[in-house]
Parts: sequence; structure tokens; C-alpha cells
Amino acid sequence: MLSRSKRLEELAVEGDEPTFGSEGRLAEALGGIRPRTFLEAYGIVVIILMTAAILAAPLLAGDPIDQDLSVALTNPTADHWLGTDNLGRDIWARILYGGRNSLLIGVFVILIAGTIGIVYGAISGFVGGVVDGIMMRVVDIFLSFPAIMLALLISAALGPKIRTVIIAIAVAWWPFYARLIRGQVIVIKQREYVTASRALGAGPMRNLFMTVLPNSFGVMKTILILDIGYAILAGSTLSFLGLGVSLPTPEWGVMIREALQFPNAWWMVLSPGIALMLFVSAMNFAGGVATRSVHEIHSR
Amino acid sequence: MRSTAGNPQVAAGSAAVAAVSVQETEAEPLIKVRDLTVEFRTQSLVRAVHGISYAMAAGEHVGLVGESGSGKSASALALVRLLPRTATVSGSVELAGRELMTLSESELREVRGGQVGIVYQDPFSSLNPVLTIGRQITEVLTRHKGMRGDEARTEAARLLDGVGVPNAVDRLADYPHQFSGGMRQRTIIAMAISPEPSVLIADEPTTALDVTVQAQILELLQSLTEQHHMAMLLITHDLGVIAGITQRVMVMYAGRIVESATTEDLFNRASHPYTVALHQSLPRIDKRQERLPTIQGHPPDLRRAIRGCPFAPRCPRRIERCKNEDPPLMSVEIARQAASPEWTLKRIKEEGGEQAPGPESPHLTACWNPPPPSSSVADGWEPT
Repeated sequence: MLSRSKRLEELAVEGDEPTFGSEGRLAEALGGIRPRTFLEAYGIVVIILMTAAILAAPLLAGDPIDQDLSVALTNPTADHWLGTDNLGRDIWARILYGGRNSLLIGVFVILIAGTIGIVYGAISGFVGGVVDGIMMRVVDIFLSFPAIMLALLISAALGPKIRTVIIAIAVAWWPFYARLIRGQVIVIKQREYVTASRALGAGPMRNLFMTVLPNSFGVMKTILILDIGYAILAGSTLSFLGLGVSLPTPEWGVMIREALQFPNAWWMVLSPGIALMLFVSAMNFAGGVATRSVHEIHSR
Repeated sequence: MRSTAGNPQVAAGSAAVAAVSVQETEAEPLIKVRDLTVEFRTQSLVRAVHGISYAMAAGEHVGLVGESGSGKSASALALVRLLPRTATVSGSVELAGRELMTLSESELREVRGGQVGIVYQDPFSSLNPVLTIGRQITEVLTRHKGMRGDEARTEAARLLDGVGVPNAVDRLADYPHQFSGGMRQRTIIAMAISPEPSVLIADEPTTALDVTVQAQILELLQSLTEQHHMAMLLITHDLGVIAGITQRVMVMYAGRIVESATTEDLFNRASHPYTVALHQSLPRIDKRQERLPTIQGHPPDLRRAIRGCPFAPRCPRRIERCKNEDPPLMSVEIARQAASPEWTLKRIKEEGGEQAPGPESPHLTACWNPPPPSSSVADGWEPT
């Protein structure tokens, strides 16, 4: 689940610089986002509902850390909709609050890995030559470690915290983005409008960030959005392996890990598992919309 | 100054000296190119521009004509070093007395756009697709004129209006794909002239446009450059394009300037077999032709050193001398006698025959055996 490079490359082949625009821009972008199939509609609805519930957790549930040993390991009841865990904590509350942490990991991993990868890859591709060669060899070194191993090493070194999970996955993932954006930048920098902007006196900085990068960004947007789901999954994986978020902080991966000690309490493992599956699959279904919207805009 | 130096009366009156020197600076050409050579390192070394020299006066419109690969674009872009990294440029380019070849990249950035504007061939690919038209114009204004905010926007609208884009104020918010080809080229022209450069390089500005729009764009270039007293180097492969709007024309072949003349002379008294052949291969409205004549053969392979005149293999007028000696660009009078080997390169030089094209230079040709003026096939092709 940590190696999505093939998928990225498939997407990258199809993309080119976008040609949409303006006031028309938002409308057009929204037009592209309109779901076409049932699955896409389903994905979008699930993402919206789950995100809303997660954000509104304090209104919908009690304290996720509050222990009540008298009700430990109860079945789902009217009081505890999804039952309780071995320490009598409400699983419904832990799912909602845990979702916050999962979502936080997903979003921040993408923000950090995306930013580092894009800046690094863009500079590498734009400067070219020896600099590009050296910068890309560094990327190759990162990529030659299995991403999951790299993440495991980092989180083992930094100790189990949310911050650690984010850093670990971001470090493992940025090379993918760097390589992807570099390819786009190399294509775009040969466009005539880039030379034209140099002919008008634009320096390399302006050229890279105003001309080349915005035009190279099309496919990246889709991939970054899609990858939020995968980042959540990766975060949960680390937590599940005991290297991510530590107890008592609720997080879906940690909850699954805990549940394994109580094979009879089926509700303990089922709830976070379903939550994780629902969210990541919804992200994937909805991702199709984003992919299509980018391609459609391009083909205009 | 030279003429006044020996005259004590003028030297005494400092005001008179100043007046004369002003006159002389005006006569001094705006651009002086000497021995400009461009080489591309590919698998082998391609010499795209072969040591050309020329000069242009302020406000002068000069055409640079040649077929694809003759080095016309490369020689023009080399002026401000806008060629890909595989290119090496040597020689000297002086703009208003300042040597450009030794400038640093950041000094050159001031020159590009600021003093030398460029209009590219393809308006469909030379605007940034993700920025609005207004943004792209105001950026140039900010860069070269320090304008910001409303001031820049107003100026952008004025410029866009000035190049004939209707509803200029509203269209500032548009993206390039919402513009037609002609309007995009107008926008590019507006951007190129906005910093009021002293030279405008127009690299086949109408090739990608349809014929009616071509005429409008040429007219626009003509009137704007005249209005701002800009020199214009108009690069084209289309003799019809230069006929209307240039004063002088330089014809390029295989990286060399092979003929230079006033536009009228070039059309009426073409003196290089290549120019004559170019004229002949133009369709004529006044003559019924079954088949358009073409120039036999191909331009030479620039990866190899060329012995003799590069046009010789395709030339109907080639003589023995053409096979061995590359003719220099010399005045037509001398070229007419130069077929005989008595006219060595040294003698041609001594007689003042070898010259670089400039505002004052006579009709020049690089040919040992130029066609006689009577053989001009250009009758009926008056400059318009």
C-alpha cells in the first residue's frame, strides 16, 4: 500500500499542462468534479459525511479516553453504539476522535511530502544538467529503500507520536512527487511560452514559479488528493505495527492493533476496520472524479 | 568628430562640437553585429550561423529572409542569447554602444524585453496558458517599468486597446485560450512593445496566422514601430511579407548573408542567384504558370565544412571559382568583375569591395558571378 509509483506513472503519462481559466476556472473545475457514476457519487457523499462527523466529534460523542472498567468489553448497546473496548472506553467516540488523527496524518503527510517533493523535483528538472543528475540520484537512493521500511526506521528512531508518523511517511513519499513533477517540468520548460517569458526579461525564479510550475501542476493535483487516502492507510499501518500513534491516543490503526488481543470482542476490530475501509475506498472512488476533471480540462 | 578635428574654428566653439557629436551619435548605427557565429553541439557540430556582420540604424526596418535552417532565427535570438544550452555564440553584438556578448545573465535580463523585444512565430504557444492576459501584460510592466496595481492594469488595458483588441478592459481577465490567434499575436506584440524597446525582433510573426490576419498584424507592427521609432528586424521566409514594410533586406543562406539591398533593389535587381531563384519560385498573379519553378537540390549539410560557395551545387550560374572559394559579401559592382581570379580576396578588400550590410551600405552580394540586372525576374513584383 506504500508503493503507488506505478499508478502515479500511469497518471503522469496522460496529463499535460492545463488550459483552463479564470472566473470560468472555478465553474469549470466544479463542472469537472460533478460525479458521473454511482460509485463516484457514493465516494463523495461518504467523504463529506465522514469528514463532517469527524470534525463534529465533540457534539456526537463523549470522551474517547474516559475509562469505565465496569462496562469493559460490552457489545454494542444503546449507550455505547459500537460497544466498548477492554478499558470500557466508548468505541464510537474513539472512532470519531481517532478519525481526526487519521485525517490529520493524511492531510499533513500530503502537504509536507507534496511541498518538499514539488520544490525539489521542480528545481532539479528546471536546472537540469549535473545538478539534476545529482538531485535525482538522491531520489533514487530514497526510492531504493522499500518505502514501508524507511517509514518504519524513522518512526522507530523518533518514537511513537503523531508527528513521527507524519514525518516518517512524508520522508518515504516525497521522492515519488519529486520524480513526477521533475518529468512534467522538463516537458514544460521547453514550451515556447517559457522562452517567450525569458525574452521579456523574466529571471529563472520567476520563470520556474510563475510559468513552469503552474503549468506542470495539473496531474499532481489529482495525485495529491488521491494520496490523502493512501497516507491515512499508511499511517494506520505504522500504528498497527506499533510504530505510530501510541495509546491512549485514539487512531484507527492503533485501535485495530489493540483489538487483536481480544479476539472474542469482534466489535473492537470491526469498527475501526470498517471506518478505515469506508474512508479510503471512498477516497479512491471519488479520486476518479478528480482524475477525470483534470484530463477533461486538458483535452479542451 | 573626425571631420571636425582638423577645423580650428569648429573646435573653438564647444557648442558647435556638441551639436556635431550629437549628429554623429545619431548616424552611429543602433546595432552593430560583427562576426556572429552560432554553433550547435549535437551529435556533431552544426554551424548554423557563419560569422555574419551587419548594422541597423535606429527606427530602421530590416528584413531577414531565408529558408528553414538558413540560420535567420538563430542569428536573431543569438543577439540576446536566447538560444538553447547546446548553442555556442561568438562574435560581437553592440547595442547603442554597449557590448552584449560580455554581459552577465542578469544584465542581459534587463536588455531582453527592455531594449530588445521579441515577437515569436507561434501565438498559440508563446503565452502562458495558466495566467490571465492582464496578468501577463502587467508582469512585463512591473518588471521593466516598475508599475503596479491599478496603474499597471490601466496601462495594460491601454496597450491592449492600442493593438486593436476590442473591449480591452474586460478582456484583461481572459485566459489565452479564450483569444483567437490574431488576438494572441496582438497581445504578444503589446507585451513586446510595452517596455518601449529600441529594437523589435519579429521572428516570423505571421507564419501561424491566416492571410487576412497576417496583413493586419504586419500593419500593426509597421505602425507601432514607426510610432515608437523602434528598429525592427523582421525574420521571414516569405518575400511577400517583407515587401511592404522593410527598407532593407538581408538574404541568408547556409548561415551566411548572401545578399543585402534596399527592398526595392532586392525586388528589381536581385543580384544573387539564390535570391533570383527565390523570386522565381513565388506564385505570380499576373502570369499563368503550369508549374511553379523550384530550386533544385537541397541546402548544404551544415555539419560538414563547406568548400567554396554553399549555393554552388544548386546554382545555374556557377563557375570554376565557386567550387573552391567562398565568396565574401561584396558590392555588386566589384562582384560583377570578380569572376576573374585576378580579383583576389585581398584586392577586393583593398578596393573597399567587402562590406557588412548597414544603413548606408550599397547593394551587396556574395557571388562570384552575379546575374546581370536585366535578368531580374522580379518585374511585376513592385514593393507595395
